[in-house]
Amino acid sequence: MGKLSRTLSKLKKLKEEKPDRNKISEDSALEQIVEILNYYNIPLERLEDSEKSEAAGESILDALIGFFRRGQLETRVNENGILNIIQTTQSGAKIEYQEVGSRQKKVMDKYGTENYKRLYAFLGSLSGLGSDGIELLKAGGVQNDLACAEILGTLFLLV
Amino acid sequence: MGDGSGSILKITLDGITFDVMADSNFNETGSGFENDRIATSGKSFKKMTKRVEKVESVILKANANDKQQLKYLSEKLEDFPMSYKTADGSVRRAKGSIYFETRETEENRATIQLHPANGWEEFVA
Repeated sequence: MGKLSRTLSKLKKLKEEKPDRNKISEDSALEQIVEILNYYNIPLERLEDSEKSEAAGESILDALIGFFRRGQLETRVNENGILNIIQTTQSGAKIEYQEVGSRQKKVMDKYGTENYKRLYAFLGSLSGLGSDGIELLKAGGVQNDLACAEILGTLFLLV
Repeated sequence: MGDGSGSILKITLDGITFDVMADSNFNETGSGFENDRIATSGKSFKKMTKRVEKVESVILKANANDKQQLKYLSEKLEDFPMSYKTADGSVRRAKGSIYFETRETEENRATIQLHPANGWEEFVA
């Protein structure tokens, strides 16, 4: 066993010893993801095609499952039958992402190839917070709120 | 939040970001209640009348296209999310509606009011 793999296996063991912060089962998380895929008619293949996400360094699906299981994300159908996705940040603030529409997509046009600016503008529009609100999200601490929003944004871009 | 003050940095209404005029001086309602006291033969007692925490004197840059969007938002029946970023970097948010007062064509200035359904909240990430 090489030095790198020894270190990696030690890291893995240490990570596993962390208390389980999952609030719901993997199946329940998957049900909520399927609810989103069905609502927006996103074929599973499209999710598989997008493979790795720059934000979390893992597959979008794995990351999404994690965020749903830890309670950072949840789905909610409002009184008009529209599916909203709620993100809970480490401060306890709730961000409600509205239904994806052309108006929200168009805000990305201003930013050309600046990928992160485009994504934050898109998420800012969906949440009503503006890109500045999204840029306030913390990457460190108890949970990674920024990566959670970015992964969700990547999913929304498939719509 | 710091002590910084000055121009409003950004406003987002139902997901659309508008430019705020640099000299726009938002007039925020202080609290959600109008307080008074009622006199009696004994001690007076407090009368609290609920009021909407409106933000007035919101002056935006509005070309003809922006005017259409503001008109649409003003006439929209459902409440929508709105937020604005102040000079000290804090973001205030609410769900509610707007009242589109006027638009002056000389400098493309639109004056609106923000009417929250349930008060304003400081967004702390």
